[in-house]
Amino acid sequence: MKGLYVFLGIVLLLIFWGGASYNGMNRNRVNVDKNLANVQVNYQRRADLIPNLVETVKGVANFEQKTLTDVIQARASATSIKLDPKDLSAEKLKEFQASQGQLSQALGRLMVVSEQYPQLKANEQYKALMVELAGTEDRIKNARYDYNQSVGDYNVKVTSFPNNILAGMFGFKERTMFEAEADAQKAPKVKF
Amino acid sequence: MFLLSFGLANADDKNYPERPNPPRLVNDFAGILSADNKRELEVYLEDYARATSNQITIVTISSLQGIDILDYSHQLFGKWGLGDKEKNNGLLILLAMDNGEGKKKASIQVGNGLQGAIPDITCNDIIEQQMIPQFKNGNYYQGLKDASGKIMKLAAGEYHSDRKFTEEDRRGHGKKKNGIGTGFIILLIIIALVSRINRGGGRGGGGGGGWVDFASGMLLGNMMGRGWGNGGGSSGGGGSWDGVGDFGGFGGGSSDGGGASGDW
Repeated sequence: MKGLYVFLGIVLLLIFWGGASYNGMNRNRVNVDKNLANVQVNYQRRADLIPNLVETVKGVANFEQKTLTDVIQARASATSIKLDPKDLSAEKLKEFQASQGQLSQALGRLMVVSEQYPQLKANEQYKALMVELAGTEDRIKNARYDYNQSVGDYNVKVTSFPNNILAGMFGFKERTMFEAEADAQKAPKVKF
Repeated sequence: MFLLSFGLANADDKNYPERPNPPRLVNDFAGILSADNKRELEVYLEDYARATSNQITIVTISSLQGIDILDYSHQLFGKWGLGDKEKNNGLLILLAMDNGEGKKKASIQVGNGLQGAIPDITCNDIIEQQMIPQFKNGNYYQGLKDASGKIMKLAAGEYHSDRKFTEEDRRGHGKKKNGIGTGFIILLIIIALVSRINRGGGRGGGGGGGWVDFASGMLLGNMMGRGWGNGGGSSGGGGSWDGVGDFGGFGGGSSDGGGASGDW
């Protein structure tokens, strides 16, 4: 009889520990997913600015066609990749990052070329879009930083003992961070 | 998790000033505003914060230590926790007297909750129209005041204060002075006790008298305490000379970045 109570006591303790541990990991995972969604929102925000930007550039200056089509194409391929937190492999994240990086590069070129069109730089709408774009690039950077921070915390939690036992049982998998961007892919600097 | 991220963020904390205590909305670390101007701006911003709960905060620093002004602003915003945590209705106007390349920089960064009313392009316009022309002539006070005024108009109606600050302040001040009252009661109790012991020693069996003294001492102490409390309350209400900290303190808000910057 006494043995049964001891056994039940241990089972109860295990349940409490398991619950607390599960909730802790779950909280971190929710945070990671929220931050990933935030990264995507900001990339989407950038993509949404582009049609307007292209129209403005076309309207104001007799702009070099190739630069514009590059931007439009890069936008199309970047927006075709959506990240699903439920099924997020390292490759998929890399693919996403590469396509967004290409868009950054195309935009960067657009800005360099724009330097040669003074009437464009004097245009109010163009200026407003550039401010908006700079703010968006800044938000993307911060969102990625926050995401990486939360992934770091989450990974430490699910891979350290004894949490890793439960993590394996309930499918808390390690997550991948965004890589630091190579210099060529850095967000375009907006200058007036 | 929070501890860990806090630890990571702490690594470069030395670049950022401590959150002011008592909380202030005007933090002139670069020393470009006169004492009078500082006070006027503080009152101006705190009145607005009390009425709307939106926290427009001004920080001036002498150097950016090589950090990009929008990054600096983003970090400082989060470290101090400008605005309410739920509403995210903080706003940071940051002036840096040196960006490392001999330029003076200004930036405005807006909490998520106010970005609808004040988008980046508007921040840019305010910097270009209200701030920089004044700053170029060294009129920092006027530039900051005009910019704040413009922001106040734009953000009007976004949020309302859900706290009754005047009521709370008065009670808060009353409590503080009552603390002194309590101190007085304790002091009187000690005096009463000491006198009882003394008398007890001197007369032997005169304990009764001692207890009467003790009780009257307490009553007196109570009355004194209340008297002080009331007096303190009223003087606290009217006498907060610069209103510092009366806006309720920073609420743990953050910004997601963005905003705008300019230089002169």
